[in-house]
Amino acid sequence: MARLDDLPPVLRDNMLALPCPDLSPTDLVRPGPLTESTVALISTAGLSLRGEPAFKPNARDFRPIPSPTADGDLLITHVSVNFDRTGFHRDAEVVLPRRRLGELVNAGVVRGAAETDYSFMGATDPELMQPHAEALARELHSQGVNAAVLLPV
Amino acid sequence: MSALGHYLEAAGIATVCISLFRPHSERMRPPRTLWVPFDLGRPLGEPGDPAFQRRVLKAALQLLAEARQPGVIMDYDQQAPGYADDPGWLPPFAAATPGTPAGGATLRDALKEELQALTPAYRQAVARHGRTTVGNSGLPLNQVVGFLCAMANGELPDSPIPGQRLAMAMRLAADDLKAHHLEAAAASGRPSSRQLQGWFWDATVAGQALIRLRSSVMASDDRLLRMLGSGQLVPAEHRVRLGL
Repeated sequence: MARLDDLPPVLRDNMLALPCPDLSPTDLVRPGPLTESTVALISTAGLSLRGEPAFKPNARDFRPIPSPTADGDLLITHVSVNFDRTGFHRDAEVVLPRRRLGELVNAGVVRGAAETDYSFMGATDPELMQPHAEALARELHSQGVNAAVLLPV
Repeated sequence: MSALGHYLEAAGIATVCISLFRPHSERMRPPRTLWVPFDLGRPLGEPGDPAFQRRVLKAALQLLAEARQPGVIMDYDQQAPGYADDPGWLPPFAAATPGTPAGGATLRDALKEELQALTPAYRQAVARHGRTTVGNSGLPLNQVVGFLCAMANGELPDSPIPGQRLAMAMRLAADDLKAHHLEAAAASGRPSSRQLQGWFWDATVAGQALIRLRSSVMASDDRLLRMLGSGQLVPAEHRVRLGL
């Protein structure tokens, strides 16, 4: 569906009209071979743990998702209703592929998976997320994580 | 999300973004992007297909390791099989379906009856997938029904969720109602997201209840209620299609 021509016109037009900050190219961090990398998953699907408060509109913070968290304790509390949630209903891995990453670790593709993954609720001014992203980077460094896969909604 | 890629990379974390909307990636040029042609909401493409998901994730990780220039966008061209409709799927209501309350039934009674009718399918779905995503509001479904129907009828009850404003409680309760019905509808077969959403908004009392709720709260004096009601109950595609 995310080919432009396949999107419903109203949704496509709304998304094209969203303001995007003008960010300069960022020099690449050279992660080295994947076999020496520890990878975290970072979602912007507004994933909350069951029993936690939902993400609020315009939330810029991130929530930790510790590795023992069961799929049944992951909820999407994102504010938007304009993306499909039925894939997540059937299989949490389609939004946060923790087991898939673990399988790639077991297959020797990557060295390791982070002990904690994270979720933002992405529907906010991106520039207001910067201090939170920097705080997250400090947490990732403290976990020995040197790489991240960012997953949209 | 592209901005997050920039900020994390600048803070020393190598990143790759999976992108579902290429124009944003083109404009914002995060460090590395794997564009995928999947439904919004499905970054790994195909639920219940580990091999497919692994290929997508592996492609993203390979880009992470091999990209040489910032701002690279690589296209992943394999479409998810579940993008296509399932021609053999049958929605839960096999025959005449309540779509709207009939014969003088109240909205609440009709919705309760619909919940009851869907119970076997919902239980089958929970057993099939090992979990449910109902729970955003933390309320039992019967309370969700009572609360949303009251608001659809023009009432403004107190928020039933401690610490949440009425408008947020409404949104979270609506999330739960939709999750329940859509999980039940996908208990068997492999319906596409289009088939499921079409069924919900066209053929269920729940869909009609949320449409009525939207209309009711958009006349409210509460700005947040109007805002959430306007944009966060019924998807834009269906608002346009149904002329709301």
